Amino acid sequence: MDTSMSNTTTAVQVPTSLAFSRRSLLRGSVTLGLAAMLGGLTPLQSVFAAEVSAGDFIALSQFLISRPVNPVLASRYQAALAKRAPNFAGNVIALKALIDAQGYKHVDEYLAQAQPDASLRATATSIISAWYLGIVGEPADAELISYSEAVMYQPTHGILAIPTYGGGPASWGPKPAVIQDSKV
Amino acid sequence: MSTDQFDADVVIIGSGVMGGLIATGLAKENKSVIVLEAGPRVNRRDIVETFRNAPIKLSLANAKLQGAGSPYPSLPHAPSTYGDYLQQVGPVKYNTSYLRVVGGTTWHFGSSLWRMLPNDFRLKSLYGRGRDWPISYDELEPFYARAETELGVSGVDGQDESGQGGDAYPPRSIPYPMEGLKPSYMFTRLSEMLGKGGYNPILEPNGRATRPYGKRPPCAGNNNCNPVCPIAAKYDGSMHIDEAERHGAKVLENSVVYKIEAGDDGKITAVWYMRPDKSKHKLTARYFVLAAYGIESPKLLLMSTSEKYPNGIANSSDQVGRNLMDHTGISMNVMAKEDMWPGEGPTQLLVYLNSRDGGFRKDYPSYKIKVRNTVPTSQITSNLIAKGVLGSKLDEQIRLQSARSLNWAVDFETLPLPENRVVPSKTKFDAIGLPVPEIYYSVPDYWHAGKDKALEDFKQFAKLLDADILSTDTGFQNRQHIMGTTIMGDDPKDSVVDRDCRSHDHHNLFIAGTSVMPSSSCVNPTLTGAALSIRIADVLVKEV
Repeated sequence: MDTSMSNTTTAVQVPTSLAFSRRSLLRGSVTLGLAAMLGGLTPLQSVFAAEVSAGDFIALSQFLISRPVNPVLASRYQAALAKRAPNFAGNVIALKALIDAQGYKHVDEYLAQAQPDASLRATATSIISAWYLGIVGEPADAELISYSEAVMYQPTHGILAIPTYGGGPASWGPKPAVIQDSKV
Repeated sequence: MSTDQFDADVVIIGSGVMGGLIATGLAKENKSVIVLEAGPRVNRRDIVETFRNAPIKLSLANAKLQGAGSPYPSLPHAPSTYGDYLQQVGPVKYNTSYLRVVGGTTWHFGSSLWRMLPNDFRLKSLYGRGRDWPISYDELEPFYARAETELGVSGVDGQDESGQGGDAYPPRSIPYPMEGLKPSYMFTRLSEMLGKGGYNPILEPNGRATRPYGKRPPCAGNNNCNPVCPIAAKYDGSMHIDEAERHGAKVLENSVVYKIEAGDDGKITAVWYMRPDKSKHKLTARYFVLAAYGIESPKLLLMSTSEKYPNGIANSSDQVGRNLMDHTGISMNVMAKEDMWPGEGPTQLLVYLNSRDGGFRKDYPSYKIKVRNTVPTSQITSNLIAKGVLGSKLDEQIRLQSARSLNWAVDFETLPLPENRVVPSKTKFDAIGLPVPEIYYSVPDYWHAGKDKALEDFKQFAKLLDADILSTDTGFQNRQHIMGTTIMGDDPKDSVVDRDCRSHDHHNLFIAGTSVMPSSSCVNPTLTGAALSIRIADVLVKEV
């Protein structure tokens, strides 16, 4: 699916540090407060359902995949993920709050947590998987959001073609050099 | 043109490469031709868009998912072979996937277009295995040359395609119509490393243009030969169907032939076909060509029973549907210690044929070793995420595994065994009430002896490449090369068609395609089928 953004970078101008809005920070702190009261980081989907703004999802996505993201695709990923996981919105808010509270600057820091909350980690994985593969859902109900802009093609960009988008006649042959993809 | 007595001079059943070549040859000589195709017409941009938008994509790299979908339509009257259409009743699954659309299976073929070797035609007399052909390589050579020109083959002149690293072989009357594709970095590097072990690299001849050829542009490395070339650089059967139509041939799509009728004198008189609305129609002609590929062709003959022909049409030998062959194979995944980058340029090209021919064929089959050259990104990424690899590591590993993970596969020659066969199912029917194909397939000790030899090559490859073997799959992988089910021979008692691909039983019926091949060799059979089809067209032009 072509979303008519620039071909490979699809930058949206969100600041490189976690661009959580003041509103979401407030909401996040509420989440943490409630969770603390309940003795854990269990998100309460019923309380926070459908409260994730597009900007918040974009910011979290950029943190999780360390790249600028296309906002048109972001809204499609968000809708497809939310449809399949009842706790999605609550977990996104809790994830953002956690990342902000811990001051993580890179996804690797989040992934290195000693005792991650399994539910939040599953949501983070589902978001990363969606952006990388361009697909949401299991084979039986899988939905394609993006093909040529799936992030998985970026680490080998310039060497391997996205199938059906080849480099042109005889565009192969010399020893390939890895070209850096665009990262946040 | 035909007289009023007949609907056409020639009716051709099947609109793939074989039917298309014959239709073109006849239409150019002003013969009236009707081509019947069970499936619909498709156009390239729809197939490409369907492919791009599909959440599950089929390719040679994810053969395990091949039951999951295909960008080609599956219709009630022409169900996709990717689903549960083919009934498997033998010990080994014969999960082939041919296409029932105008243009046929070459829409999604990898496009390797090989000639067989002279010795492949004499398997029985030289090695005591299988069958001999009634014709020789020398008799077929001029037709190979014409088929290469018709299909637009690109290849490397001067290679010893028998795999021994010697002079150019087999003999050719023309150079390849187009020069070979540029080798990728991986091909060059693998050739260096494996050459030290005496393995002779061969870049396979194929149907991808390397310069403008007819209406085809040169290959642009889209790496999507299967399931569809997005730019029509790769040959497919729709190109000859288009040409036949330009010369006046009629193509009736969504027309499923379900019965062939013969008169008391043995001549075929008519075919009956059904439309999606189940309405039944009859066509008459002077001559008939059955070109519905190796499963549907024998199924149709066996369905066409009558009082005079209780075993079906063309089946006095009881060989129709039998002798089903493939290049049943194995594969191995290795991780190299340096970057190779499979997936650059078009899919597949580098093969090893050290075990293509020799006295060993008394004991084990001829085989071809090939390296997969499909972009592996999607499979690698899914596997990594499933293992919980995320963050910087995910990018690192996508890059590393894409560059270094190699898949090697072997295609073995198989023998024509009468017990391996296709019959119309007695219990399962498609939506218009026609029996679906039922397949019995098995693999003899001869194949296993070849497997053991090829596994030794695999180990040797891993050693020469300084690579770690990650996995080996010896699970009888189907190679989608259907052969043998309407076998050719001089003796009407043990074969279905004669040396001209004419039915022994019915003078005006020809069977076109790889199903007539008495031996399979270890190379892709499409060009051999195409050469035989051009030969059929020559006979028809004279007789009709």
